[in-house]
Amino acid sequence: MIQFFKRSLALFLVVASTGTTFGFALLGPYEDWQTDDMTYNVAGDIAGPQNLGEEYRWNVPNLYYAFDSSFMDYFGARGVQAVEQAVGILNALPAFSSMSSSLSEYPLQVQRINYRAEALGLLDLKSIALQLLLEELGLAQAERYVWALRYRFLPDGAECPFYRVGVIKRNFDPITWEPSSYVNGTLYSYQILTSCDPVDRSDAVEFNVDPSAPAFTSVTDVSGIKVGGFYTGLTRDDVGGLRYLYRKSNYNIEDLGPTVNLSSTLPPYFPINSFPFLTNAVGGIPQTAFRPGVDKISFSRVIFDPVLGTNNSRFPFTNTYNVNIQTNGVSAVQRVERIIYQPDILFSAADLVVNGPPVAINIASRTVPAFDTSNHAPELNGPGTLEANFPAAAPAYSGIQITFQKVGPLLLDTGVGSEANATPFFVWGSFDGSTKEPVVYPSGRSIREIESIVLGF
Amino acid sequence: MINRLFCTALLVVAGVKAQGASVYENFGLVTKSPQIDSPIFINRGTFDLSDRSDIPFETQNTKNFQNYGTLSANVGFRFSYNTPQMRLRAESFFNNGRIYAFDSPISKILINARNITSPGYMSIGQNGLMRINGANVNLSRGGIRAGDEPGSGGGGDPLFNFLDTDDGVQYFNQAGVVDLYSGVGVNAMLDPAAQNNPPFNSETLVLPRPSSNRHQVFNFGSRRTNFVQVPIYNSAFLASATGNFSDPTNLLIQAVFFPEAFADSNLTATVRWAPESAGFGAMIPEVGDTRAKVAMLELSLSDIDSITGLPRTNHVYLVDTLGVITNAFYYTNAFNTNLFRPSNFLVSKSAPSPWADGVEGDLPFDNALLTEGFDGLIVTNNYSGYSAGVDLSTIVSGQFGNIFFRSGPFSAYPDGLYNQALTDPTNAPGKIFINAETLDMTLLRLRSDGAVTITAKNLVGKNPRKLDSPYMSLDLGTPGRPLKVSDLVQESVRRLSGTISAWSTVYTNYQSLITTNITNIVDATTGLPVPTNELVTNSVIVRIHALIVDPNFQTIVPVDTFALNIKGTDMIFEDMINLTKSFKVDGRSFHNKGSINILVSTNLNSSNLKNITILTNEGFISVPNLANFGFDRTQPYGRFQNSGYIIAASLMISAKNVVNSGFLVADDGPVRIKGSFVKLDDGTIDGLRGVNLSGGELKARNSMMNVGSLDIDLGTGQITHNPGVILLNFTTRISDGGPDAGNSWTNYGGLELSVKPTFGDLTGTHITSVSAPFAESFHRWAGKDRGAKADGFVNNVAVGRLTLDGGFGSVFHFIGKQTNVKSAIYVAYLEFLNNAADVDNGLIIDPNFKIYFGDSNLPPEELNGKFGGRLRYVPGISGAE
Repeated sequence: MIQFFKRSLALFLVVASTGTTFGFALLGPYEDWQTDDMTYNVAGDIAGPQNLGEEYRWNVPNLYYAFDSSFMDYFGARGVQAVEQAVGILNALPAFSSMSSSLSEYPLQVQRINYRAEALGLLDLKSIALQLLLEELGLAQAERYVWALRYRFLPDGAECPFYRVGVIKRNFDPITWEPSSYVNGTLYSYQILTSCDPVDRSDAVEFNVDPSAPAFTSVTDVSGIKVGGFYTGLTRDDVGGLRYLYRKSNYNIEDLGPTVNLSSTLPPYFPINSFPFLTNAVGGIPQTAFRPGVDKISFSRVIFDPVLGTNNSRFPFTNTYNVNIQTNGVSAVQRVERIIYQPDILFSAADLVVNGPPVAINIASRTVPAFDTSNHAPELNGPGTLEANFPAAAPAYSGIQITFQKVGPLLLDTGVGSEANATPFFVWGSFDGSTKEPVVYPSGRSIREIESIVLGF
Repeated sequence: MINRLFCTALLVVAGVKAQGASVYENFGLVTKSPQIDSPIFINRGTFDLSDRSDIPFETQNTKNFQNYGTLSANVGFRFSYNTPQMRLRAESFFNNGRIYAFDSPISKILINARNITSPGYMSIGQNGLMRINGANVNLSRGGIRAGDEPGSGGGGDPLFNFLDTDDGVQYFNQAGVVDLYSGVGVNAMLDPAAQNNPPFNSETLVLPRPSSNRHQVFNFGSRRTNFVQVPIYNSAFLASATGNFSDPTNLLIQAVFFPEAFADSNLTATVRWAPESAGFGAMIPEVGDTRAKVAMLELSLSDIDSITGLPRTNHVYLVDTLGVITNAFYYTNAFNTNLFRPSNFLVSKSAPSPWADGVEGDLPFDNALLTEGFDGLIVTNNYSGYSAGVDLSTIVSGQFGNIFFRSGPFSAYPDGLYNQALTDPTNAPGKIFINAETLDMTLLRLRSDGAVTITAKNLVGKNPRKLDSPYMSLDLGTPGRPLKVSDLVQESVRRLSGTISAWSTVYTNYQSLITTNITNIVDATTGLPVPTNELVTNSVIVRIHALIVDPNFQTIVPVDTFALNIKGTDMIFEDMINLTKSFKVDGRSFHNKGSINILVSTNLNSSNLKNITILTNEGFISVPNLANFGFDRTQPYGRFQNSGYIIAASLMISAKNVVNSGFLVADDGPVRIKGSFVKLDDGTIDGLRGVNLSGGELKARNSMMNVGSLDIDLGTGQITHNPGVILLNFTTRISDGGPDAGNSWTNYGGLELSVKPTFGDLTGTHITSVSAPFAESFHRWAGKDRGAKADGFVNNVAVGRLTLDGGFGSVFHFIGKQTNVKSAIYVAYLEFLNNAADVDNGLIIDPNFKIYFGDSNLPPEELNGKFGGRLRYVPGISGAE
């Protein structure tokens, strides 16, 4: 069904479509009922949508990323530059506490089209990287989860497709935090669609009630990006989702993480009543406490080669920072040290074509952050923290890996069996709204080469 | 299953002049979207961008747009100052050419500029959106369209609207077409083996009133099966027939029955036939009868295009392939698997491609064709039933990926839609938004199939030529100047909207053909064969395909004005509108000469009529709840004058001067009028639950009041009584000018004079008090008891004529205003009717109250002195009848 395609596109194809809303969705571990037959955990998914208050987030202020040699070989310096443009959009966000309450400083639509890139079938590397980074920060696809299924069953005597379903919302207003049918101002309704063969599956398929309203506009929803399209930044509701997660007033019971320790140096300031934490807790520091959002997350690039692993002379290194905690209504500051053994995120490239049947031609793959689920009530599915999940001396890279398709120019044979009748598959590119020639990947392929292939001149 | 495959565009942009320079200027033909990064965009040639999908074409860093040529594109264009970071308002937009945005599947023209001038033409499709947003917007003499271009049909060839999916062939309807019911079965039932499945009596296939049997279908609104029959109405039909008689023993007859005429003479129906080879695609998955043809019907509504002023035609088409295919089955709606359509049917708004080469029926039809010469007329038949809505208003629109849809109906929600926004006209497609600080619409020609929303703080220039839309929202102002709303909103527009239902059947019948057979008989004598004639009966197979089409369309659609907000100094309103959402008038005075019919269940109060001091109504105002003119304000209106018709559930008026010479009607509550000066002159006041008039001075001549009601149904014995009291409370004067005043006031619940004013009488006023059976009708009157003398009839609110009309067991109870003060009512002529004529039982007069009368329909002398002297005859009173 339509939605099956849309939802499975997260790692599959980028499809021409539109989108936006007044809301955001939260990413976390699947609940027991979030099953394939209700279109959760389908191909391309790494996690499920969470209810409000059951979110997962990073509680470290600095994340480190690197590019491995496969990425460098395929995308080259221009590819690094493109990904760093995506990172730059996130780094340019001010502290969430300094944003306006309405977030009116952020646009509702951020996608633009480079028509030359569109004609050449180029997919913007920066935009896909930005979407994947938002996901790794704890945001699910807002539009996809405006409506979702909570249960389905077959009444007595009924057969597929005559299921009865219950429909819920997992999209939330960035201002009121109420369940919302809107994303970036566009109203969505749903239609229940069920397929029976070969997959018995139902879904509440979103559609924009006003057909002329811009749809699937949030950067979190990968089905919004188009061939030739590129994001100029984040939409209001993307930022709203991040603000919900990382705002200072969002206190959750959280661990510091396995590689965070009490700093050997005292914080520059802290209330007197915070001293007991330094002395009474296990290991000299309370691992578990009410902790606010970090208010701002910064990404820093590090040089890392996974082949060398931790033997790389640059690792490990230590990041020292202050963290706020609250216990028994008392706020305090801790100064902690995070030992960075490996980058949190590693960008790489690989051939992601999966031989069928069915054949899957993924544009990218990524690993899921580790969900620390140890600190929420057992009847809930969150909140918790996101962690890169690598031990102190991992033999190999075990952090988050974002891998871009590097199969190269791929022609889809239409059954005729000749190049003349083949359909070109996507090609990575980097471009903007200017008249500058788009950058085409792999590195070294010139725009003229692509043009000669596609256009024959 | 819709596979939104990644489609890589293959073509690159065409070269154009000055790309990337300070001025982009096109003199030629541009067919591929160019990348433009330039502060000035000028088109003197043609843009014809068919490579667009999803997102309108736009340029970067352009502040000034000029079009003198033609800009056309799938999806359309966005004109704004598009910086690398944000979209901002451009400096200027000028269009003296033509701009087209084609539905693909939606279309958009989005303009955001400080200065917008368009004397040219701009057009989007019926699924589209046009948004014109500027500080100074001048659309004078321009043309704007949201909908099909005349003659275009819109929507393309509907035979392409099939998808080959993993779940089989699915279809999607054109925009505006929704599935209502479907059914494929045998005889009358979906289940061929169902019990009580009667065969079809084919003798109903005759003119002028053919009829299907009652056949079973699945109704998508009720989500259950039911039986339907076409046609619904008993109108006269025509027939178009064709056939094949090449094999005299195996005949084919096909006939289409369709209405001869419609209520609107501009609506016509035409039938054409096309061979199965004409290209019907998925509608003919397998040919069952190569001789048969496909039946096609076209409905045409001739109209005058609001923009060009030239004739235009709207169409609806129905295609039926049942005669050709082996068996009909169901195709599933690609966007709603709960909907399905018989595979033989198609309804569309644009012509299927075989229509152009279709031919009229070549077989003259008479009733004998299908009913005479057959061995029998009771036949077993395969049938296919289908009904579709076209441009119905209560539907839900939406978009899945690249495909636009409308769905419905949604009567499965008994209390209406869960989310009313789903059917809000502002969410429906084909709409136009115009938002300006200063707006000039002089002679603008605008036509839209969807909502038109116009917002302008400062409306300048003259009226538009025509705003032709079924949904209008106006928010207009003329700061410091008068504002006249005239010919802005149409009362109705011409559109083709309704349902088309069809029943198609295929069956085989037989005719007996008697022929002479030549056989050879051997002569017994000679042994030679001898030819001889023999009469034999041969059976002729007749395959019959019949289609009955039942279109029920309206061609005049009332305009739904979902908002009217106007602001100026003195405002005159002359249009006729049906309001469904909001109404606000802000200014010094408001003069209604038109018709304001508020349909949404809401009150009309000071928030709707802000700052108004003078309100004049010469037209019609209808409010479903309370109409409160001034009771909710600290300051009353300066003047409230009604010579028109105001109807509300309850009606409240507070003004310094109230003048009514029209109709004031409260059909579910009271009428309350308060004023320093209240003048009732030739008008009528109807208050179902009372009329309360108060203030300083009341003057009434030739006025009527009907207060309360009494309905007695002698057939059922039901009595419906709404007791309504006439209450007068004026401190200075109540007067009618004398015995010839001609006032006629009737109450069904009582009468009250709360305070005796200083001056005045009602000697020319006839008050009728009607009491319901067994009811007690209270009459409280604050007239002074001056004794049985003529002086009591002067400046004492004396009444010219008081009729007491009592129902069985009823009583009229007269009471003074205060228990310790003697009060009286002076009546020139006191009339007792029905039960009230039994004065002793039908009348109660309290001890502190007296009734003085100058004459009566009963003998005055006999009445005089009754009730302990509290009913007194005062002879010689002038004015007494």
